[in-house]
Amino acid sequence: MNTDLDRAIKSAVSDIVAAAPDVIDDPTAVTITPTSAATPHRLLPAAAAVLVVAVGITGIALASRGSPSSNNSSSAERPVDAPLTDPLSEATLAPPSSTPAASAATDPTCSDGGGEATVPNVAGMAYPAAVDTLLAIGLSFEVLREVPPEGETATDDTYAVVGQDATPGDTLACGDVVRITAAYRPGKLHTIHPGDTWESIAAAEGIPVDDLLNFNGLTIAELEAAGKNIASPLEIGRAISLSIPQPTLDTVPTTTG
Amino acid sequence: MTHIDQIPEAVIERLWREHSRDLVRLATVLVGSTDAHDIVVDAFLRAAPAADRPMVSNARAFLMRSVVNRAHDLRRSRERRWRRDLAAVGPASASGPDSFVDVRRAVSTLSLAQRSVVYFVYWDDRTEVETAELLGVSVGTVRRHLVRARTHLRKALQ
Repeated sequence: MNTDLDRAIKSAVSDIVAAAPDVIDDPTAVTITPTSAATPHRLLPAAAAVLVVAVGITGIALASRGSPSSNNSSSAERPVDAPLTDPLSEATLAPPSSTPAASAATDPTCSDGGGEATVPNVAGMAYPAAVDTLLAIGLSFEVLREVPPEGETATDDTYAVVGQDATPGDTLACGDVVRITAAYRPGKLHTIHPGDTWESIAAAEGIPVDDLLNFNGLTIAELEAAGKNIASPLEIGRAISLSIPQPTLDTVPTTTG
Repeated sequence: MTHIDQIPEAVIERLWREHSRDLVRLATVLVGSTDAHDIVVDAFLRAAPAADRPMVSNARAFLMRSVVNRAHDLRRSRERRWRRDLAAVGPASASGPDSFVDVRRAVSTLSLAQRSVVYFVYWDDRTEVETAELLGVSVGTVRRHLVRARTHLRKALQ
């Protein structure tokens, strides 16, 4: 991929892609005149269903690519090498008073009309909640998904966001892309709802609270050291594991080409 | 077969927001900018009801296959216009070297299969193995398309 020919092809394809039309918001709002059958000829086999670049056993998969604003520089659209953090680590331990709703009330969003939005911290959130949070304030997103083990079926609800390339609190223009990294959590994930605490979730799920904390890489001592306890409210939208200890996430930024 | 109206609106919105841009990019390489959006919407509306089923573990790949298939469906009637659209000088390189323009024109004369492979390998940075999995063909087929495409495009540079 380093010859003049390869560079020329890459440039030519980039130029063609640069002419891609804008995407409408709602596909169902478009009237389509069917011409002929265009259904997928067959489903991808499970082993081939990974559209993505797997890196290592628990590697991260490239599931989406760059923004229209940078469409002539494919190298710039590679996944960022931002450090990845486990969503359930101490670093993302849910602060008792911080919720997406609370931050949205104070940080500018695109709905304010200023053309800018403050980057939220979505690391640690369940993937659907993270996407909703970003879209709600007017930002776009791309996701790198961890490849599930062969034979296992992943859904959006089995992913938790473990990293983002934009720094929380920074300001981006409306529509800018925030690249997020989602880790496959094969155990049960629970998305924090208003009023949830470690204690209430443990009770609802019939799990000893010590075990629940352990599943999420925590102990009561660590919780208290962070100024919280099992009755402290958790951050809405974040994901916690209900069934398995959190693995050490061996995420490796995609290297392709 | 599940109809689009039977799929929750939130699912449709999520699939569209998450995948539509890349689908349109792929479609642009396959059929040119004029028809790209139309075939993506058509392919999406047809494939989305199935794409979110648990048995489809990668909705994105499923939707991309649908776009490729849709491009094949429309190939005969639109090919001449596609080639014109693909060969058009894009704004990003209007002042670029002429050889790049030649390569772009040459890309427009590749077969759809070759274009698909070129898109995934050169734009999406996929390996031959990954491209084969995406397109549901053998690695040998991908390699053959790639060799032929490169041979064809090399001539454009000479």
